Amino acid sequence: MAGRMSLYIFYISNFLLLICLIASLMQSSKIINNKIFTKPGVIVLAYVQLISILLSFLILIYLFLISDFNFDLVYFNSHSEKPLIYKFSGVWGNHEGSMLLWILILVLFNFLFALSRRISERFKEITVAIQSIMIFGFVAFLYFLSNPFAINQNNFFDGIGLNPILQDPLLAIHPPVLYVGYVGFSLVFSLAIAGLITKEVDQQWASIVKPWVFSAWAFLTAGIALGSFWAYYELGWGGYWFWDPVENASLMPWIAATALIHCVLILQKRNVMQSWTIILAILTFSLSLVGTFLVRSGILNSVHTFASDPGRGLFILLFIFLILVFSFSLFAYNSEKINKINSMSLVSRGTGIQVNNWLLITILTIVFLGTMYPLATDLLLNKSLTVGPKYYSTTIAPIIILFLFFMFISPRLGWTDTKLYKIIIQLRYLIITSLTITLLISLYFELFNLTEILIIFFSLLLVISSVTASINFNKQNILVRTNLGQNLAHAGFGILMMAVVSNAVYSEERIYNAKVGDNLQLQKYIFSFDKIEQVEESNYNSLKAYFLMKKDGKLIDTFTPEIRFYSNPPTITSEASILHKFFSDIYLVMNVPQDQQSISVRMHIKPFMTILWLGTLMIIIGGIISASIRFGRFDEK
Amino acid sequence: MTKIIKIFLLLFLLQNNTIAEDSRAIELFKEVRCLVCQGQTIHESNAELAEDIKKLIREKISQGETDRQIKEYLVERYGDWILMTPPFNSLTYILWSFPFLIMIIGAFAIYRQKRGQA
Repeated sequence: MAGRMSLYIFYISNFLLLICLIASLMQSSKIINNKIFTKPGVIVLAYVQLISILLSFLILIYLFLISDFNFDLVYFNSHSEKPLIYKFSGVWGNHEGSMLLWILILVLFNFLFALSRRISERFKEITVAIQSIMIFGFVAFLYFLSNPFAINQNNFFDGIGLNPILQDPLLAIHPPVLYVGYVGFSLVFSLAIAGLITKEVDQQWASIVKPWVFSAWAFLTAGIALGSFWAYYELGWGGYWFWDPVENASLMPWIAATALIHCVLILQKRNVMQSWTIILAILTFSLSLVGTFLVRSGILNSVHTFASDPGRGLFILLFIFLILVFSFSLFAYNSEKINKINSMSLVSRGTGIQVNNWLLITILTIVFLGTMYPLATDLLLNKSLTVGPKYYSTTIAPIIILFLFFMFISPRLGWTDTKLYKIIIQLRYLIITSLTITLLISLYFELFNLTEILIIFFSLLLVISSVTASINFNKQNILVRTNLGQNLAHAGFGILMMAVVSNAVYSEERIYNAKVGDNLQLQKYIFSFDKIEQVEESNYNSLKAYFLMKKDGKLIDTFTPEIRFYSNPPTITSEASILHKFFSDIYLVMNVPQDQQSISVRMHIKPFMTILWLGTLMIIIGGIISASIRFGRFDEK
Repeated sequence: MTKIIKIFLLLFLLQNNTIAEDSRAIELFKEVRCLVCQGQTIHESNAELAEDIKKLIREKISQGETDRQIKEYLVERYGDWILMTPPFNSLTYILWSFPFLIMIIGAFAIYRQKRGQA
């Protein structure tokens, strides 16, 4: 029998979920302008929604911390000997717990928006009502189909444990950050639907949406970057992006959202592209749902896991389907009324943003096709295909060249018709400088691939242009405040692209079968295999190898790649040992020994990794700055 | 003295030769999927089957077969699935050409919209 305490907790937590269901139902009823449900007000209900979910989330954390194995979720995903931080992160290292976290963030955004000022009451009510319909749907799903508080009648002595590959400090924070991004777009979606209902998608709407869409985007960027960083040092394959379905699923909403933030900006400044902005808002949120749930339910990785748990997968598919049908019919019905007469000249900043929007949609199509195509051929034609990284790099690279060009030129164009040749003459020094540097780089490094050279050239142009644009003196020689967020993010993107290309070109690797005492060579470095020893830790045993890295006979660093043997659940992982230098990373990873005599060790030189992360960080900070600046303050001429 | 230099040169050449072949093998390993892993290439994997295919590829290289011949052999034996990059054939026309179609449609749409206003 489950303990009495556990039973109480079981009843209380389920009761809390029910309270949230009722509050959300009342909140959603406000979508109709009725006189019955004027009380309790939006803010009171938002408090109830937040507190009920927050409490149930805290209860779940408590259950994991005290290792109450009467609860199925704790039993299947935790272990009493696990370090505290992983008991904590084990809460969202599984389907049910991560759902609850997802809902918590959904409710939190709802609450924060309900508190925000300077928004008309009716518009706020409708937005919160739509948000609450979603909260209702997800809490119902959680309660009936994947209840985190299910209890068992067995007195299990200990739990099964968290997948060791997930036992990593980065992975403890990666899901929450990513979720804030995904869920942030739910509010943007609700705002878009509210705009459609009230037929007020205008400059004011854009300025309400702007901080939310920018912060969601910044979080999503950070979440993806954390995941990529984790893959880089934890998976031990020597790469940071593998184009696998799970990564692509998070990249797709990011691409749509990147297009969206730029549309919100033009909408705010010029009052154009209303319909397209709404479509992107709907698309971004739908893709976020795909990103969170189709990944978790296993549809993307394998069709078979879907069949093993049809309830969950079907609910999500149904939900996405309903959202799309509802929002697009509303859109079809009301889009005529929200569209103002567009007026944008051919050569203008607006057009540049439009072109890049379309290029982003093209890249999105590529990622979507690459992810879904093998699934489709498998299901429909029973033919298996693999779509590997090369498909993406060959198709995306030429688009990136155009994309970088428009990213560079658009901010330099005015909102009204501009003469292109005048701009180019104005920027002649910039262009000549970038061209010279690119030529020097390509000669020095013997780089003669046209695509790569062009990407480096335009990235360089973008970086220099963004940097010079942010250092802007007026006639009195005082530094003018410029659009720092934009310039920082754009420069970051240029740096990222340069690092990605140079990394792909100059990465080097060697694989050796090594015995203790061997000296292995990688470029100008010698690695002496010093010793190998067994180490015992609280939650795993490991085989640790020591390599002394020498250059010209001098010891520079010691590398300690490991193979870890976890017991709960039994898993073997390989831990890379990485030396981060500013211009290149040196990366050693060991494979599980095939025989007792030697180990297989793989050594990588990964140039520009630090710079790659730096570029990404600049993009994130740029996003945060843009999110925190309220509308109109940094208007340029 | 010249003898020693010659021996060194020979050694150097030999070494270069093996490295060149090794990197050719690695490039090929990166193009071939590990059949028992999740989305890994045989290069990244050390599963038994992956090791077998690596051995097979090394043998074929030393027999003087071209990359193309080796890939064709693998496709014949295991299907298109084994190649990391899908080939351009009737099954993948849409995969390879659809993105460019999308791009052209977009360019056309934006241009028409602008001209309509002028």
